[in-house]
Amino acid sequence: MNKTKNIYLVGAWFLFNTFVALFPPLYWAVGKSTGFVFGLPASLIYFMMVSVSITLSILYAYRQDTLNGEFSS
Amino acid sequence: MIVTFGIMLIFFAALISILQRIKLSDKSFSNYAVGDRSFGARYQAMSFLNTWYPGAMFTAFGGMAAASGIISFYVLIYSLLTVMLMYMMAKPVWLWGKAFDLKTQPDLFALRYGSTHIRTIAAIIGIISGIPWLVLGMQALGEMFKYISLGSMTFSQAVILGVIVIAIRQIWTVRIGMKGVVISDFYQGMLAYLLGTAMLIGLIGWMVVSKGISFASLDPSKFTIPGPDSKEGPLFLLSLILTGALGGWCWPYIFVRLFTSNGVRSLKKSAALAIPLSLVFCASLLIFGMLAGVLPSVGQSTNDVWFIVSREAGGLILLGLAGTVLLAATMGHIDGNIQATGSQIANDLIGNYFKLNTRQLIVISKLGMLGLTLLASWLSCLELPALYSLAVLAYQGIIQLAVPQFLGIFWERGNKYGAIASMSVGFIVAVVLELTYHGNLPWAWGLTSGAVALGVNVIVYVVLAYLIPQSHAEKTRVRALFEMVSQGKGI
Repeated sequence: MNKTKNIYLVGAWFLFNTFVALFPPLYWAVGKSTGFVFGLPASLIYFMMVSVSITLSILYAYRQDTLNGEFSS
Repeated sequence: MIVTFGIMLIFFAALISILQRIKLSDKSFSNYAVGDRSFGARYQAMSFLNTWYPGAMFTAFGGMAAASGIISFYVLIYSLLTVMLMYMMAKPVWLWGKAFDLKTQPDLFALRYGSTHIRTIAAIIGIISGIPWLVLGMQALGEMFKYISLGSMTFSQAVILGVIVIAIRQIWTVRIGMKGVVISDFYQGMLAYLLGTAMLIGLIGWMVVSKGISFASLDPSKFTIPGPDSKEGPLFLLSLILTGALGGWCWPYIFVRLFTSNGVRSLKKSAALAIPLSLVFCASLLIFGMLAGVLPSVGQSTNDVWFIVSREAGGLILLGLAGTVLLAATMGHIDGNIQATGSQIANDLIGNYFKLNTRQLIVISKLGMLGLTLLASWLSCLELPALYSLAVLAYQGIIQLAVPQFLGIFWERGNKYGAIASMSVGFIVAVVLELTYHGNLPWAWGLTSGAVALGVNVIVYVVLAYLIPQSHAEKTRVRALFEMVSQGKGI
């Protein structure tokens, strides 16, 4: 992927992270539920999915910055 | 008691031995204040974590997970968003730091806005806001020593012991400066977050296997998030996460981590190293706290959950290790706070108005650290009933630095008038709202005073950016700063 496309992709992913972490109707919907999915509460799954998305976005951004020569002199 | 204190003594002796081996250098104030910008990604990552997650994580947030359940996960989300912000800021902040020999957060404000006085204002807000948290950190050590002494010490005796230990530790912070802080953070961080995480995972396994606890054992109310009908208000979670993520970088001792790295690559790599560690550590802690809340022994003593479960599962040895982990986490936070404050006193307050040479800057910085250590030690031994309220007030105030800080880094248009007015108005609004409503604004749908003030802060900054255009010379200067970032190579 070229550098510009990558910058947009990382930016979009960061924005997505911010949105899912902060958008109230999303966490209201999840927060009302007391149901379990695979033995885990829905609200825990929500928080863990947001957390994993943020983590993966940083790892991806660093990998792409390295591959695109962002750090080379 | 010999077992628990013995384990901690071994840790402390090893730490002192590491610190003693660090070579002292006073060739420049940059060496003393930011360790000559010489640290690679691994040191940066651990130093960030050790400053970010204080010992209170195990007590306050472990306790919150046990008492209140899933809402405690807001700390995980904002901690990870903070690393995302670090990734975004790494290039401009490091490049400007290197090019203009920036050593403190107020240095960046002064550079970006071309103002001397903004340095003083930012420094005063940072220093004053940090003191209640420093005192709380020292008192938390007292709680730990009380538990570790197996009840043979009173709370007052335990606080005094905690203060003595942390004050002794500061001898090396004062002597060595930033290099000592970062190198010791690496050692302390390995213990606090690698051993700590291993212990947390082990304790979760113990609760599941030996005690038969699962999420199904918890009261369903522990899984709800405050929504439109809640007493906290519909925007409560948003407010906590937003102010937590933005506010993190407003603390001078966190921000200075951006200047200690040896390059943008190291800084970004440190984010990539720190974030999985942060995820696993913090998620483990909160899951541990939630499950442990079911144990009858934890009962109402939720803030002691880390010690109670460690002792129940692994006896005195695990209790000693639990205390050591908490001590390691606390030290990283307190050292960072004291070091950054000392640098600010010399660089941003006195050095802002008097021409000081390297030796004078270092001496003033050391005296500042010594004075702050003594002041915080003295305050920690006093009964201060309003201390926690003061700490909350300080937090709502300091996050007002976020607007001129982040908009200044990413938007060329802002000017010094907007920056000074926005953070000053934001600070005043936050303090007035907090003092008036004591953290519960009935008309704000769950927003905290700091979050409401941030809104006012942004409006003031943006309006003044348009109402008072930058002069041609200022526009050219700021343009050159941003071009330096867009062309930045060799990093």
